[in-house]
Formats: sequence, structure tokens, C-alpha cells
Amino acid sequence: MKKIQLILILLIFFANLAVSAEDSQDPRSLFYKANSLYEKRDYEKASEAYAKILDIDTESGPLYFNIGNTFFKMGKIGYAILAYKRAQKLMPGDSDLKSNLAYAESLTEDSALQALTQNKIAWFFKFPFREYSLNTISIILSILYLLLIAMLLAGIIYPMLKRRMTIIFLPVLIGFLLTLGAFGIRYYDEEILSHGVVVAKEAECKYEPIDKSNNYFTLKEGQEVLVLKTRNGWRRIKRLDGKLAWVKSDAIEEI
Amino acid sequence: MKKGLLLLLLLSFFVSYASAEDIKFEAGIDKKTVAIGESAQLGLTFYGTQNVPAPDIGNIDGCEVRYLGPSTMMTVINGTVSNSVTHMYKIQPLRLGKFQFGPFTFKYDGNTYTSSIAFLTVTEEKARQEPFKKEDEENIIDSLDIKDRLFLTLKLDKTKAYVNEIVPVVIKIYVNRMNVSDIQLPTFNQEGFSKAQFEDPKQYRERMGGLLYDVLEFKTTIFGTRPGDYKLGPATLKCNLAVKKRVRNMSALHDDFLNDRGMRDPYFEDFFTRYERYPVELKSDEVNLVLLALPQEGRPEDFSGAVGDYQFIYSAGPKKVKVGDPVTLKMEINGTGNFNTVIIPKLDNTEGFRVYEPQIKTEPGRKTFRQVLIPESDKVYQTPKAVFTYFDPDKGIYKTITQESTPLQVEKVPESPAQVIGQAPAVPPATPVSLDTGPKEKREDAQPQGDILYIKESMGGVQTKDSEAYKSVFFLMLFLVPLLVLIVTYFITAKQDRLRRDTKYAHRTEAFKNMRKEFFELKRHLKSNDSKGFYETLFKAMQDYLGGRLYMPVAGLTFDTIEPILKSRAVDAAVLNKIKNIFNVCDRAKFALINSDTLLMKDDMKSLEEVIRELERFKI
Repeated sequence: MKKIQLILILLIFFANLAVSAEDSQDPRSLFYKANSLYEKRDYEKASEAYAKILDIDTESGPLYFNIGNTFFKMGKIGYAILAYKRAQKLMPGDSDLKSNLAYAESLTEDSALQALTQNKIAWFFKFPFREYSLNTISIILSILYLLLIAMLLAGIIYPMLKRRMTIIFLPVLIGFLLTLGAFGIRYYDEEILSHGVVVAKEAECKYEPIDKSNNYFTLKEGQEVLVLKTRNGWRRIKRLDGKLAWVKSDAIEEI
Repeated sequence: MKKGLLLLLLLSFFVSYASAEDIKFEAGIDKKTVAIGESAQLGLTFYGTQNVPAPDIGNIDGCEVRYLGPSTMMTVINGTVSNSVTHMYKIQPLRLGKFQFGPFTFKYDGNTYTSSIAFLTVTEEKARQEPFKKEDEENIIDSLDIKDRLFLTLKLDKTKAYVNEIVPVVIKIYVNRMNVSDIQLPTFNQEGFSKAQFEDPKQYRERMGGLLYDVLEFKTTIFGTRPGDYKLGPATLKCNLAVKKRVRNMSALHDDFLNDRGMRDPYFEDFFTRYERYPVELKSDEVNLVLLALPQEGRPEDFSGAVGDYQFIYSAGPKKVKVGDPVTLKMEINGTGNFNTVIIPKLDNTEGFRVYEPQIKTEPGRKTFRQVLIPESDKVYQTPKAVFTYFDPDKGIYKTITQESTPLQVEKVPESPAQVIGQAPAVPPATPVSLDTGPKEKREDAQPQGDILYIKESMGGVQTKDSEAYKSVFFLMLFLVPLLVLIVTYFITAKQDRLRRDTKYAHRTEAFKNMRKEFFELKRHLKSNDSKGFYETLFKAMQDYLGGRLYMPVAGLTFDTIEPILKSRAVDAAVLNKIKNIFNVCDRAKFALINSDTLLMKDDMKSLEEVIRELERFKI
């Protein structure tokens, strides 16, 4: 009888161990733990706790948002903007995020350059979808595409439906083309171009990827750049006004 | 050089595509007062474009107006291109009095622009300063140093200010008949002061010391936090100065040619000259500013440091709620002053409410606070009073604005049988999106760091990294498979449709299809060495195929009946021979009752194959 009790106790003990091990890897429980550290104003530990969630290959918009807040509270504006920009990819329509990002950016000296990146054609396609992530746009695009194919199939198989469907077909086609344009532009912008944020207080930009090269210009913390390539601890960057230079890799983090 | 020109052209092209919202229209006059008989210059400036033609300003009562021409300006400041066109008009007043010019309305490219107003006073006395003639101006220019033709000024709106009071700072670059480009944003020594970002620079013309200058004005504001005597500046500004250089190696003939008065036209000068750019750093003088401490006398207890001249607007809604439903207080502070020092007005008594972290929005000239309060019982009858205290630096006194409570009607929530006794009140269903919860205590320590909104309490849709739908093979297949299905369906449907509509095509297709079956039959006979069955099938196959291809009845079809038809359709003689041979061998086998050997049968089957292959190539 005693033996059975012992076995039961051991079983319960190991089962609890297994559950707690599972909990420690559960992103949501890690998230709540990090939030509680943030609430206690232990930002250093909160950022480490949030980083653990990223380490298990998991991400979400609110997670990056909270990381941004944590860095902001730690006075690391560059890292805060970086995290907010990462969050923006996943939840671009979030009003809290917009507010925090705008506030963090207002503390940098980058606003004059941001305006130069506006392209009217890109804006035309991007504007209707500004609140949606690229993933959501791809889902909308798939739905519209399937709808179009279904309508075309129906038109081929049942030709008498063609005329009736024209009224629906045209808006769906226009919607599809707009979505395709938005998807293409956003995909190019988010997946092909490599954006980076200056995380150092100041980053000296040089003509050549060597320490002794002359300074071309200086980037400030939080400023956004395009990263063209990385070589031997240097990054070739393009400032948003088109100026090209080399900057030390650790001064910039890719979004 | 060509690249530069191309870039400039492209730049001009894109700049000319400035949207209607980007274009500003302003009117300005070079003098405020003139004596009767003197003239003034009215400039109508369009910022953000260079393509706007001269507006027709019509007749101005009491003045003679003459259009002088346009003047364009393009600057690159920290990579930001700004340009403008100014249409100049000579104004010759014909009577005494005060003249108003504008607002002028101008329609261009489907948009309507309205200018600001400019005033000119015409007096009997001569203006204090004699207007300079062009020749005088040229004489002055000859005697001037470059520093008098290109310089920077730094000016403050006041020499004394209180701590935290906003002090406007104006930095101007003056350019007289010089080509300046790549103007960077100015910087100035502001130790001990916080500086706002520069506003968009303004361009205009200003007459000073008898010279007409192109002016680029940068405005910003500063405020200091510690009393004392300060020196601000000097302001510095980097730009490039383009200096005209004649092209060298020109022959004397060319020099003579260029020295000719007619050839001194600016157009020819530009043609034979080139510009060299030199980096220049301009420096202004320093300015003094005395910062005064805020007076202790009359300082209210709840004064939190706001300095300026403000109004306070307060509203609450909804006014009829249930216990646990949110009520939003909207508190707007607007006016002029240092909004960095404006914090949320103090709420008099929040007993009976759960208080959430406020949402703060700062816009030029206003700061809005949205404070969510949740009544915890139906015994709450009004919102709390709100008190805002600030220091008015112009009058040198403290002011307090109190906004009275708004009556509230709070209803009890009917008790839910499922609710556990002692459980916390339900989370408000309509809490504003941006107001992620946080008790009141949190607000107080979060505030000094800045205006960021509180962390998210829910992790939202969790995903593994790089697991976006568009990165998966499924996404690609989702596009390819339906497309393939569409293409296949289209071709099948098109073929079926043709088979229905085109009888000849249907017969031909059918004939070819049947031929396949008959080939199987032939192979079977060949295997069993059944020459009779083989040749009967061969004959039938030939008949069926030709009947189908030529759209003829199969019964009684012989070589004699089809030969003229095939000949008329230009079928090759060799193919005709093969057909003839097949018919003959079939006839012999049928009537002579001979037993062909397998090899011959194989040859005949091969011959049939060749005939069909040949005939399939022709459109008969």
C-alpha cells in the first residue's frame, strides 16, 4: 500500500514538473510574466522575459508593442522604434501603436526625411490597405482571386451566367487588381527591401567601410534607413533622401 | 554634368507634381508705406510649385498695376526640396490712403487658391528712406563685401522670459543676387534650453539697407527650465555657394563677341559660364535672454508648471450608463504656450469611480486628454470637477480654470445568476481601444517618462516567425492550381463546344478515336494469326477513318469513290498509293481466301499507320 502511495506521489510530482516545464515554454504565460515585470517597473527583466518569447520562434504585434514600450521606458528610443516598426508589420492599424510610434519618432530628428519617401503611385495602392498587415492583404488577395476564378469558371461552364455576373465581376476584378498592386508594393517594401533603424545614439556614416574613412554624415538614434548589404561588420546603407554610406553593423538593427 | 542636369530635370518634374494641398499661396509687399508718386512691389508667391502662371489680379481701385514677371526659387534643405514662384507686380498708388491687396483667389488645375492679405499705406510725405534705383543698388553691390550679401541672423521675440515660457526664435538667411544651394537646417547653441523642431522654412523677399534680399526664414521655439542670464547662439548654417566662372580657353574673338553689349544678356552669360560650388558656413551674432523664475506670490497649491495662455474645454459622455460602463471625460487645453508643461487637469474627487490611464493627444495649439472613469456603484451622480492651473507670462499671474461636474445617471446592473459573489466587476465592454487598463497608481509613475500608451495585456494572434500565409507553398499552389483548373476547363469546354457546333470536326475526331480501338483489334488478330479477321478489320478501319475524315457515309466506301475527292484535296500521290494498296490487299484477302503470313500483316498495319499519320497532317 505504501509502495502504491509512493508511486502515486512520484507520478504527481513528475506530472507537475512536466506541466511547469510546458508552462515555462508557453508564450502566453511568458508574456503575462513579462507584463507583470513591466508593471513592477522592472524594465530590464521585462525586456529579457519578452526576448525569451522571441527565442522560441514566436511573435505577435502586441509582443513587439510591449517590447517597444519597455525599451522606451529604458530610454532606448532606437530599440523602441525598431520594436514598434516590427509590431507595425503585424498590426499596422493599431491606434495605440500609431500613437506610441509617433511619439517615439517625435523624439528623434528624422521627421524631415520621412516625407521624402512618399511616392504617389505607391500611396494610391497602399492607402486603402494601410490598416492591414501584408499577411491580411495576402488573404484578401487569395479570396478575391478564388472568387474571380470561380466566376470565370462559372462563365465558362454556364455561359448564360456571363451577362448576369458582369455587374459583380467588374468590382471584384478592380478590387483584385488594387489588392494585387498593394500586395506587390508592400511585399517589395517589407520583404525585398531591408529597412533598418539606428539603435546607437549616433552613427557615423563613412564613405568607405573602414574606420579611417572620412565621415559623410551622422545618423541619429531612431532614424530609419535602407540596408543594402552587410560586409565585415559594416552595413551599406541608404538614407531616405538617397545618400549612400557605410556604417558599423552594430549601430543599426534590421526591422 | 549631364547626370546632374537630368537629376535637376527629374527633380523639377516631380516638384511640379506637387499636390494641391502642398501648394500655398501668399501675397506680400516690399514696403509698408510709400509716399504718393512712389511705387511698391507686390509679390504673389506660390510655395510648392513653379508651374503656376501669373494670376490676373484685375484692377485695384486707386492704383496702377503692372505685371513685372516671375521669379522662381528652389532650395534643398537637408535633402528636402522646396520651391516657389513669385509673380511680381509694380503697384503705383494714385491716391492717398490705406490699400488692401487680397485676398486674391486663383483657380489653377482645378484647384482654387486663396492668398493672404497685404497692406500698403500711401502718405503725402516722402517715405523715410528713399527708394533705391536699380543703378544705385548696383553701385551699392559693387562696394559691398560678400558678408553683406550673404548673411545669417538670429532673433528672439523677447529678451526676458519666464522659466518654461515659450520663446519664438527666428533664423534668417539673407541672399542678395547670389546662387545658394544645398541649404542645411540651421543649428544654434541652446545650452540650458529645450528646442522644438523647425517649422517648414518660408521664402520671401525683404528690402534692407536699399538692397532687395531673398530671405529664407526658419522658425522654432525654445524654453528654459532654470532662471538666469543666458547667451544664445551663434546660429550656424551650412550651404553651398555657386560662383559663376567663365569657360576658359576661349579665343579673343570669343571674348570680343561676349563683351559685346548684346551678348551680355544673362542667357548668353549662362551659356558660356559654369558654376563652381563652394561650401560656406554662415554664422550669426549671439543674442541675450534673461530667464525669470516663476513668482512665488499667488502660486496655487495644485500648480503643475503649465506656462502660457490657455482655455480649458471639458465634456463627459455618455451621461446615462450602467454600473461598470465607461464614461469618458474629454478635457482639451488649447491656446498658446508650452504644451510640454501641460499635464492632465486635476480631478476633484474620483470616489466611486475606477480611474484608468488617460489617453493623451498633442496637436499644434492643443492637448487633449481622454480620461475613462468607470462608476462602481449606482450611487454616483456626477463626474468629478476638473481644475486646471497655469501661469500667464504676459500678465505675470497664475490663473485657475474650474470646470463643473456633469450630472450622471448610473443604473444598477441586474445580477447575473452565474456571477460568483465577491468577483471583481466585469471588464467594461466598451473600453476605448487605446486605453489598455492600468490602475491609477500606474499613471502617476508612468507619466514623467512620456506620452506612450500602456502595454498590451493580451498577446493577440500568436504566430511562429516567418509563418505568414504568403510565404508558404500553399499560397503559391492556391494561385497556380485554380489557374490550371481554369485553363484546362476552358480548353475542354471549348473542344466540347466545337464538337457540338462543328459536325465535320466531330466526325474527324470520332474517326481518329475509333481508329485507336481498331488498332487494338488489329493487334489481337495479328497475335492470333487470324488473317481473315485481320483484313476485315483493316478494311473497316480504313473505311471508318476515311468516312469520318471526308464526312462521307461509310457503307460502300471504296478507293474508287474516294480517289477523286482525295486528289481534289491535293493529297500526296504516295499516300494515295498506300491507300489503294490497303484496299487491294483487303479485297484479295476477302475474295481469294488466302492466308497471309504475319510479316505481311504487320507491313499492312504499318502502312495503315503511315496513311493515318500522313492524312492527320493535312486538313482535308
